[in-house]
Amino acid sequence: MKNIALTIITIMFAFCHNLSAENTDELVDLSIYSNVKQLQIGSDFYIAIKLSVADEWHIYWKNPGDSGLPTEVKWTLPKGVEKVGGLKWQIPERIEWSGMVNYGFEHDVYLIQKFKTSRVVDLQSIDITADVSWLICKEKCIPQNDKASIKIEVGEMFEKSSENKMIQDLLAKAPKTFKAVKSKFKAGKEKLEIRLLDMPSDVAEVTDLFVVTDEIVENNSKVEIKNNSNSAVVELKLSPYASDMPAELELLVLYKDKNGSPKSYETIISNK
Amino acid sequence: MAHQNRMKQLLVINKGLDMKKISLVLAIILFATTAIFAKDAAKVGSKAPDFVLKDKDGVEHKLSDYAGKYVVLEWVNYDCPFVKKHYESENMQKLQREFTKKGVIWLSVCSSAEGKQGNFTKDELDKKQKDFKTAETAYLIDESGEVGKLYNAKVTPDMAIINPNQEVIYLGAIDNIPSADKSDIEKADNYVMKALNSAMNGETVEVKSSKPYGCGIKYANK
Repeated sequence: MKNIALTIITIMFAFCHNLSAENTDELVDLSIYSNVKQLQIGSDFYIAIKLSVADEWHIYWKNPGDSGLPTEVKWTLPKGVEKVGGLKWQIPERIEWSGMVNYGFEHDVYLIQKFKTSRVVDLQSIDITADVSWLICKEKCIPQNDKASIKIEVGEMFEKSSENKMIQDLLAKAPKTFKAVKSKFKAGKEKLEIRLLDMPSDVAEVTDLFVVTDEIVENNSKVEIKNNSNSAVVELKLSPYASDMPAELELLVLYKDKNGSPKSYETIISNK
Repeated sequence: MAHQNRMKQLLVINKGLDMKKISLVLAIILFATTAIFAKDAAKVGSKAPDFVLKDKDGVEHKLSDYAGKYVVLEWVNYDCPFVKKHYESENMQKLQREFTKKGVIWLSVCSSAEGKQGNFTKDELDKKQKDFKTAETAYLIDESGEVGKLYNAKVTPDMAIINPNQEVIYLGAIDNIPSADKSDIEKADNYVMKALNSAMNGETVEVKSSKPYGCGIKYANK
């Protein structure tokens, strides 16, 4: 009798657990961290937003691919606090289904933003709110948004937060920014040719490439890479929607360094 | 000697027959493959690939039967938030009403495979269409996804416009603001409305294609 009761309870528990997993309000859990607990006005700091994505679901990268919507962050900042550069994204995954390809994240993902503080304003503390919106999809898609806030103390001393190491580790793994001068692209009738003629000095072999600029390449086309010494040529099929080619393309290049470690860089190349 | 020559001749004839057979088989294979791949995917400026699909009431619709009229193809999945954006705001129905009144054939196409989101029973469809007060000419069922793939439809909503000569004149998004937010509709440039108005007034269609935005189509064989 005891055993039967236990079995029923277990089944009921499993059933309830399953139900809660499908509760659409719980598909993404949003959290916010900073690398500092306290700072002096005039110094820089980072804010990391973590989106914990439910199993089997995915959210989208800045270029969502064939369907979906990019995840977006709107910041509410006090006077005297400004963004430095753009949002740092992790390397996306190719999510393939029915011949279509999306770029996104099927797991927890961090978005990191750098900020600077100016001495103009007298702040006691820095209150920051991130208003994050995303589209989450499995078979069905649900547009959602949520807010997360954080307070950083202002004082005489600089004090790291307990998440500092985690944020520094994420930054170390994030794509580096590389200013390309010689690299070019050329759009043919059906193919896009990217010539990476200048790259970070530790590149041994280009392994993959994402075109960040949307609507340029056919997302399900093969990325063909020819590695030469100190340069690489990448060919991709043009998208049928690529009617007007922009003068510049934003790229994410994945490579192996001379020790064989996976690394990446982001760059902007032109057609001239 | 004569016997040997006769044998050679026979061999040659046999070889000839074999070659003939092989060529025949090859020709059949070639014909079959071209028949399979004959239909190129839809392209702006090219002939619209023909198709036959049944509507939700089982009535067959053949695209080429609508030659002489403008035809709009609208890929639909009423449970997709991007489709809901355009139906809950009545944006899509307004377009359907306005243009079907002007003689345009509006075909909503559902390429969701059996058992997948967007593939509704007749009763569910009747209810949803009554609630939304949809005004399409016909709602076509494309469970195999064949027609969806023929038109390179990737998301819902995804739009195609075909002119009276059965040439594709527009492929892509309904408008230029990719979002699931109804409040964006007013600010957006409606590509479908503009393309239809321009073409029907004998003007050049300015935006002939754009990247469609929405939920991926729930084709068979994930």
